[in-house]
Amino acid sequence: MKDNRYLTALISILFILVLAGGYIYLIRMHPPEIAMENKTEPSSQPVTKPGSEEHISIKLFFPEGHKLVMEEREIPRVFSQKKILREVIREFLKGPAGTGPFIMPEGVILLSVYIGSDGVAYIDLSEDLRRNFHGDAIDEYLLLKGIYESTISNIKINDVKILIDDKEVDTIGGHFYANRPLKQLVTQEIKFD
Amino acid sequence: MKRLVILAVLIVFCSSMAYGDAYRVSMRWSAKPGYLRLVLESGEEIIKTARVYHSYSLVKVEFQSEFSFDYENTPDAVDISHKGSSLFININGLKDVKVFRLADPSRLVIDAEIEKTANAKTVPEEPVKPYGLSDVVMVIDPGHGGYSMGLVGSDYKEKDIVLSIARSLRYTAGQAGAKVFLTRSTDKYVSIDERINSTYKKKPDVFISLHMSSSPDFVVYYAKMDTSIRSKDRYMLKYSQLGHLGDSVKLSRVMAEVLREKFKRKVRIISMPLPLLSSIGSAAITIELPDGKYFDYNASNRYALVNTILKGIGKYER
Repeated sequence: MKDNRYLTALISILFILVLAGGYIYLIRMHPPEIAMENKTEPSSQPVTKPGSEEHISIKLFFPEGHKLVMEEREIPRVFSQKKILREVIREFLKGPAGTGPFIMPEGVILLSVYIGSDGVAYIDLSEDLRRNFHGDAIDEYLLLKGIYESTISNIKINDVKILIDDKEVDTIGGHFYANRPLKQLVTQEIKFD
Repeated sequence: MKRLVILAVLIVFCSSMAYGDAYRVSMRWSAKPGYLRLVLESGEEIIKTARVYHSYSLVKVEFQSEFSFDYENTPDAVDISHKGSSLFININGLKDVKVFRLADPSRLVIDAEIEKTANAKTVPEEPVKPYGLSDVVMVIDPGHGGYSMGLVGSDYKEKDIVLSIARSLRYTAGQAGAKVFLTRSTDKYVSIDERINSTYKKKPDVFISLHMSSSPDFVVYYAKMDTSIRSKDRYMLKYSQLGHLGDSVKLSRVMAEVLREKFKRKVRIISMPLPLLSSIGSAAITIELPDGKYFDYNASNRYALVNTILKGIGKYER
């Protein structure tokens, strides 16, 4: 009788351990940002080109003079917000279609993207951006605004933050903060006297 | 016994004196455009074991142990600090360094190849003009520094040019009776927050940040403030500019006028949400100087720039 009680207790403990292990496994396999991605509304996805099932159209915003100009491009259809964001930034790094100068330094690589549960898109770029950026205040402002506008026009997020080599940095080009999300900065229009 | 103790004390005292003498390092220098020679003199053993490291604009000389350091002055392009057993030598526009040792007397010679503009004379040759700056407190903020070079050309770097002009402004305005502080006086990186905090402590009447534009024009910026700031947030450091925006607009217009008049170039005035300007509690502007591609930053032009900026501040103050 006493042995049976011990056996029941042991089986219960094992059962609880298995349940706990399973729960931890599921949490690790499905982190919160992925859960957030799946919840995102389908309406925020870029519009499929008429007649094209394989591609989606994205909008990119590149600095030109003292403003941004929009350029549409097609990318292979992807369904997750994170994958769209990755493709948008990769396309942005290629620069505008024309032959004009692009203030983004050459060799900048997209290391990763991440969408936080706070709705902020984190764009992790290589150190080349900070080290090789040689522009003035307007150049830096328009580059940050271009990244922001290109991101929010293609996925539904609240804000955009840039990381360099997986870390927050004080500034990219010495004029503006890069250690905080971009929305508050880039939604203020600059004014020429 | 007493005699023995006195003898021991004397031996220790004498040996420490001898030791102290051996660890005195003195420096002399010579310079010409594009070249700088620093000569460090000391005992044979000290010179033989000294190690020299070079990274960006910094040359570090590490000696065996602590030493006393004698030097009278430094060239314009050089800033020296001495800490413990190390000597930190910041050289503006440093391109390359060669080090060698010579005997009789023992000396360490550091030959630095520098940008031709880096060692140009920054002290004005003409007498100081009466700018009306007496008792004006100003903070000059040379942009960039250290790894952050700003605009770069074949023979110039924004960080060096703005630092050189800032130092000349400090000297000239100081001669005219102003109290001038720099947010950086050497070639080191200073974060935006560090610049804000150091300026806040000085409580200036005028704040001028110096940068370079990627165009042939001058650009003068004043802060663009977020008008949706809640009233309880208006006293936060980052919104310090709110009560001074009118002064900054006035300063930017006066500055644009004097620059246009002197250099016959286009001067644009732009309102921009620059965090540094937004956080300053006084008249605050950023002046972007023309790109070195389009403007010769020789000694005479730099002198003209310094005088014109001070003229602008004087005119604003009046």
